[in-house]
Amino acid sequence: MTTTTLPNYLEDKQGKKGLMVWLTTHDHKRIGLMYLAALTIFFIVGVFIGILMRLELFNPGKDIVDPQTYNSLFTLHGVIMIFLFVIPGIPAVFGNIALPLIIGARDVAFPKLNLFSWYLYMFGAMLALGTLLVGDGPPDTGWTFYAPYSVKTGTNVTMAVFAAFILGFSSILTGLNFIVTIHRMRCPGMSWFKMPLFAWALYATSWIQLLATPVVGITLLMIAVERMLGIGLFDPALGGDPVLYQHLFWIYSHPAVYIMILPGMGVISEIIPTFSQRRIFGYKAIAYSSLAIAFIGYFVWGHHMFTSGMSGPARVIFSILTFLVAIPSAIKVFNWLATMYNGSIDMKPPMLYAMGFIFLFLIGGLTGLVNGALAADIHIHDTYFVVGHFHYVMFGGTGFAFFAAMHYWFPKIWGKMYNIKHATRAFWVLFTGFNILYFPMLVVGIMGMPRRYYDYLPQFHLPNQISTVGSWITVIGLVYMIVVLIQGMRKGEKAERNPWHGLTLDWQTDSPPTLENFEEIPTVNEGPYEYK
Amino acid sequence: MAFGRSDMDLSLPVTLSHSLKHEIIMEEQKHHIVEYLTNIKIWIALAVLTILTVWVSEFDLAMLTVTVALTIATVKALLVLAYFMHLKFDSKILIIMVIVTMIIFLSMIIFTFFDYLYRR
Amino acid sequence: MSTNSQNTVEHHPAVHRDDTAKKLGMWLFLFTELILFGGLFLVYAIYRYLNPEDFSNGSHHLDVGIGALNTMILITSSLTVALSITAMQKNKPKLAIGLILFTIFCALLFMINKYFEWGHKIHYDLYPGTELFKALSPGEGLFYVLYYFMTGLHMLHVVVGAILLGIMANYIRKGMITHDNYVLLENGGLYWHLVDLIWIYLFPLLYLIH
Repeated sequence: MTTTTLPNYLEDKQGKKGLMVWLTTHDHKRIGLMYLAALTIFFIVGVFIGILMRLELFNPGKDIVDPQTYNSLFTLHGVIMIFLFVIPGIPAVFGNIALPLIIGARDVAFPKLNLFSWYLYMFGAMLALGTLLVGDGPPDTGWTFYAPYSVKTGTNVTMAVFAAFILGFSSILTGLNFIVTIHRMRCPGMSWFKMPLFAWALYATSWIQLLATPVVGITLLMIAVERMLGIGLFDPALGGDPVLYQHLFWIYSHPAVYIMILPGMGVISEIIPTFSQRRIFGYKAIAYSSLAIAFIGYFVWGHHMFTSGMSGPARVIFSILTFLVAIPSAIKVFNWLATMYNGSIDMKPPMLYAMGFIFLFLIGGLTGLVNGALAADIHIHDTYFVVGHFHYVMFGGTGFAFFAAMHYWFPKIWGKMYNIKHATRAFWVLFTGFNILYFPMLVVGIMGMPRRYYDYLPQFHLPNQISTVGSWITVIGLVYMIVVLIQGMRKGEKAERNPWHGLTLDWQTDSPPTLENFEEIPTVNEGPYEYK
Repeated sequence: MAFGRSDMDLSLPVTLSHSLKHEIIMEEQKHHIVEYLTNIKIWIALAVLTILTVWVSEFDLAMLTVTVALTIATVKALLVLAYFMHLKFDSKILIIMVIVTMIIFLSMIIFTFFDYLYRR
Repeated sequence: MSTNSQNTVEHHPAVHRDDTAKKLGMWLFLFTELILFGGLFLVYAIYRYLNPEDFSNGSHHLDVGIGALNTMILITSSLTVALSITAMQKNKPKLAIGLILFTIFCALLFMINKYFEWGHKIHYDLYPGTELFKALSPGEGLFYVLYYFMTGLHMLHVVVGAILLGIMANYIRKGMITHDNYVLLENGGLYWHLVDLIWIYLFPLLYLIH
């Protein structure tokens, strides 16, 4: 490719000034960065709340907050982390930035709608955080807003569910945009099976965003209407059933966890072949497994409700399907490892985070199966075992994949490189702290410590102290990582166009790209991972 | 220039915009026309089915009431989807997407019923 | 793309249009609306199963005549919006606008009927929160709650659909929709047909199953 004197997308201000360059942009790369900036702030708030929770749990009894406050802390921690960080996370930031690049397009199908999605996200986020400041205080129901308590509590539940409704809309529109983009805007020669696996992952994710989110939308609307008008949909005295709320809630929220993990797996599927300089093993299996996870994932939600009073046959069916949905995930893990075997492994930070993902996701996934086994779940439902499980998959899985993506696409986004040595050290601090923080939860959960409890029995004291210390190390790792990346943004060395020697189209254009990504739309005639 | 977008407004030198601007449609748009008469025939069918479903509801069909009502409704829905909404003449991919969506929606109902049908 | 001596960018002026993408986008949005209502249909199905007699009683209190009339109104409005697309394809913009206006007129008729239907019930204190309502058996109360919720949400979509079609009529008037660029009208029509589709199921489930 010839070098070009065109400005890159960060320099190309299209005649606008200051913040308006960002706030009125249609460029998928700028929109992705706007999501990144907002997301980072919300993540930090969520982490801060987590730190407070772990401080309170250092000793039994009161440490720093009272029980009501503690209930609001874990509610907001969940709402912020799930709705503002993990669900939007990789699609909104890296889907936006990288999807058009890897399929050889100039932007997504509906750029204005893309910007609108960001505004919806910000509006929803403001509402969610606003629950901290106004009215009767932040919600204390847990992020799951179970009836009947969510209907009765005086806290700002209505505002919180409206926030979630708006955020859901943002998620739906992003999914819609990506589906049309992938169907219609692949460059010449790029058939479905020549598409990079990150695109497959985003495609599967988008279908979940599209079809599952409306269910939680209408459900939260029901909660809001029930709070305002007392209609009794979930009130047994008026003929309703609170368990029906749980069904409706988890019909979305289980597929939602696949919205969280599939894009992360897609990132890993990009990083592993690049940093092994080998073609991915089992491309089609990985592509199909993304679709399989998305599809089967719609039919397992009852495993969140094993102790709720559901019928026996329902429990058995949901448990079997839960085990079934683990299979495609396992296929991916095997294929990643097979790709690495005999490869030329380059242990740069993206690869470290990718391998961290595989290790942590493995623990998370296996503990998921323990939860999915009916008899075992009786003992561990609503204990810290569950908390440990989902942090391993959501933080160790999606979180680490997010960090992997950050380190991978950093030179493409900024045209600079961060300090590799410090980034590597930050990874190890984070990885170590993470396990010290969450592994004790698995232990103390099996010992019987309930979740969402402000207080606990003396026999759980030591693991809680270890976990809290782990939270401090984790935060140090996170701060270290963020500082390294910000320093890279500000003062990093100029990066070459393709520092990782990747073969996908994103690496065949400038770092950073021009506004329109490619001087000429490329044509492809082979798969994306044909390393020689 | 953005493929697939007619709404992108990049600044052009004014002198050039008139002479050089032209539209490229992504593909041969198959301008399939559903004739006026065809639409009207579908409307007649829908009206007849509406009358039918009201008439049938007068009878006590016990267990079958819901089934019959929903079946007639589904026939009406399929007519609207196929002709008014043009699905019959559009890309097959759309039909697959409609089917997948319906499968997922129906599964949500069926699986929830696994709970309620078997509660003691 | 080429650069001139002043290093500004001259973009090729070709504007690519992808009608299929726009239509696909609209269908995807319709799927979300279907599932949104679907959640209410699920709740209806479960509670009907649990309270068959109460739901049947509740259904008896609804006026089948108004319901059937509204069904016919919506079906006719679907016809006229479909005809407006045919008219546009045959380069008859004035006819198209007329048909769309008739569709909107049908929407207004629907809204007026609903106003009377709801008004009648509210006049007799049959809505959530009243003493009469609380005295109902639980299943019947649920039936009416679902009746108001589902027809209310549907009504909202009737209003939105009518506004959208009004905007489309205006686009035709301004020449933004033409006989070889009418995907926006098709999309507006698709949204309207969705409103019709939902009612096709609401009508029997609420009015006819007793």
